[in-house]
Amino acid sequence: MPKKMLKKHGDILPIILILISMFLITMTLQSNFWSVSNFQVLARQLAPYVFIAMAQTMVLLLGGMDMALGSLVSFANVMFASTLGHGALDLITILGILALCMVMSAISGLVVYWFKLPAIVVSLAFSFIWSGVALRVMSVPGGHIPNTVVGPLTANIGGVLPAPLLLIVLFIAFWYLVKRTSMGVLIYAVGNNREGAFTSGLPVLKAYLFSYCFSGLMIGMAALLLSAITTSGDPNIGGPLTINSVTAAVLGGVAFSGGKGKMIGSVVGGMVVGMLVNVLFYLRVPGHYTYVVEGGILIFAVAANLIRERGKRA
Amino acid sequence: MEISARTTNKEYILALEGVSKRFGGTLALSDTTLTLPRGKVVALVGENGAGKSTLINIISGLFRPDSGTIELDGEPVQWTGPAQAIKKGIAVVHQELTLFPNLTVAENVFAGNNEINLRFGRIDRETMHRRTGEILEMLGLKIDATVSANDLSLAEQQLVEVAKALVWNPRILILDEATSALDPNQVKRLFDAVRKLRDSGVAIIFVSHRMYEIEEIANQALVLKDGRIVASLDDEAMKNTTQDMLVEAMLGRAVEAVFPNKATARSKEVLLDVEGLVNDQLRGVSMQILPGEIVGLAGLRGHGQEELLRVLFGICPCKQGKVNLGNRPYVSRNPIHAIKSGFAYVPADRKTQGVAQELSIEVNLTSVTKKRMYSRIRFKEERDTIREIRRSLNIGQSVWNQQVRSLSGGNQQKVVLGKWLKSDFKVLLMDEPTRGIDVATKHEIYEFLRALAETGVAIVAVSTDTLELLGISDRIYVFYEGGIHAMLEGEALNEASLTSAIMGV
Repeated sequence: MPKKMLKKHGDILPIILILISMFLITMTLQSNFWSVSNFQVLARQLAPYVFIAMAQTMVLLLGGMDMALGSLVSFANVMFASTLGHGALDLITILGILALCMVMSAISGLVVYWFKLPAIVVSLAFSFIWSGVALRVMSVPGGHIPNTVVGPLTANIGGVLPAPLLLIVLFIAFWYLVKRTSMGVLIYAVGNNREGAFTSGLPVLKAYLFSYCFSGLMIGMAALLLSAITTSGDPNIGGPLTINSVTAAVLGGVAFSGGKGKMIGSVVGGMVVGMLVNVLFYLRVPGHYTYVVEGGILIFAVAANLIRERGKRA
Repeated sequence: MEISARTTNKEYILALEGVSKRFGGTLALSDTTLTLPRGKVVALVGENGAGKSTLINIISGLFRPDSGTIELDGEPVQWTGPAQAIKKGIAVVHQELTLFPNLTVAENVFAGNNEINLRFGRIDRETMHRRTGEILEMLGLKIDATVSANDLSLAEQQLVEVAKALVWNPRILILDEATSALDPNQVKRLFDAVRKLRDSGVAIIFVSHRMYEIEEIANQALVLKDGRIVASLDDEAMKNTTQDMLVEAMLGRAVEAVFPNKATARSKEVLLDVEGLVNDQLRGVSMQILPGEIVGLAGLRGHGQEELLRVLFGICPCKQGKVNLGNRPYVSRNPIHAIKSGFAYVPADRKTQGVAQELSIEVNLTSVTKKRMYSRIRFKEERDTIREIRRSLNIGQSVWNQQVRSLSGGNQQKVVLGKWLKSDFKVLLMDEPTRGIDVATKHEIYEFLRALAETGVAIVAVSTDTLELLGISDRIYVFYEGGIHAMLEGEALNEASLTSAIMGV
């Protein structure tokens, strides 16, 4: 049984080892690391990274790449910061903004589908559009996330389990349910060979709609959790998140070619990237070096995937 | 009940009336009228570009006709896409592979098929694997349904493609070049399955460039030329039709012998001497090849003959063994080294390995001849070179800068051959010289190969088409399980001895 497990999930083993070593590094950097509250803080900080990793994975699986992810996070963040604060109405507002994220993501997906354009270019264009919209909503950082919203999102259920962790588990569970359906096979099939999928009579449009909507929803969730951490709005908050999400997914073994990769790998990849950002912060590495490190890691991750792939072929 | 009674009484399942399709300036299919009977295998015969694929794509809903009507069971239909046609029972095995490399065999076979869905779209994996196993068994394919498709050989992938069509229980099955990568044994199994389907009332459209396959399996034939049906052979006519007559009908003229003459005089000096090559697939392969001869390598797919070409060209590693090329030792390192040493290689998969599809004919033709990476390209010189190559290969009426993608398979293969012509090679290694190429172009390529051999070049060709091997080769080495099982020459070059040698007898 363990042998079979190893064969099936062996490709995400390296990233799990990396996660563990990152954990140990973080531990040595922080005093009283092994306290429950420290874990809870860490879980809260990592959660947005896990969500953007999952969001990017949905688009990568279709053979595309979402360059607009960061801008959409910024947009959702300033929307939360400028509209919340009306008591019970806030729940509806939050759901509305999440739905808006799904629609905005779906729009770029439909443009890719209908005009058969490369997703990377379309989403790059949309990243500017969403950035513009975000700046229109809020040109300088500001706004406020009320405690009635921050509270539940940063709460620990039963005093132990952080709420974001529960949300992550729910979304992963949902994805793995979908993966077992024909929609799961459809997404991988379209990502592998779009023309072939169409020729075989598969509903290619449905794959695009589902993936981009689900991706948009998770981008919205990431923005919501980020908003709860920062408790304010910033039109540029999403800037580095695009590259972070790609790095996380690729570290988790998702292929650029599409139709290949596991969500669970990306989730671990998201944790590694989140942890990395944290470690660099604790080490007081200046922001510009952080970019250099993140870029370097992305290249490393892509190369590692390729080498592993070649190793398998031979 | 009434409807089904009426439809089953009808002799024809599908009827096309005055169907035309135009692409840009060319009329790909012109005013085509045909009827497809139940329980028959109808061969679609024609050169590349005659309109076979267009016709198939219209029937299967991939293209919409510009004019004309399609009737299925006597009811007019207008396809909105392939999905609709598949649901109505029209399944196609396309010439181009449409598999999803990272999905498992079973997932590939059942992709888009809702009959294995449980509630909420969950997949009944047990049924999926069981039914896939049954179909693969019927096709004689011994593979695990849980391996991913990109771990399969080309032939296995092609049979999975067939399984993918069969799983729909089609009423019309279209096989477009579905046998091109299969060895004779696999073709036989496939034909057994096709006959079974035919006898159960399925209408089958069969496309192949191998005339003997058509003669064997088809009950009727439609001959296409320049987008029109020029001849329609019913059961009676088909019985009295020979392969030559079919070829004549599709070319619109009589053909001379399909294969050129054999080598005239050969020197006795060995050009390529291979001794005891061993690697993962080869178990000690030795052969001597003389200048000016065409040597065929036969065998079932995966028995080592393709591997030998790849080892010689430096693509695959070799563990042991010696190779001498023109009395000088040659060590297989990489393709660049192989080209410098005097090899040329024409791969089986020309679309991905043979040509750069997006680039123009001229760039493709000069891609090997560049002497130094940074030396200036002398366009005038290149033009002359290209003109010369094109003249010797008779590459169609195409324009200089036309994309290779838009050429027919035959012309693409000529481009692959053409790009080597100026590289001064001594040995030409060819994997499937004419896969998926029409008869007329095949003939041209055979003539060209023979003429090339006459200049003192040695040609080593791998092919799964036994008649082709017998037709062009001066000698044939037969591979079996990674070793050379037999060498056929002279009188022994006949179908019976070749087939039995391939089977390891």
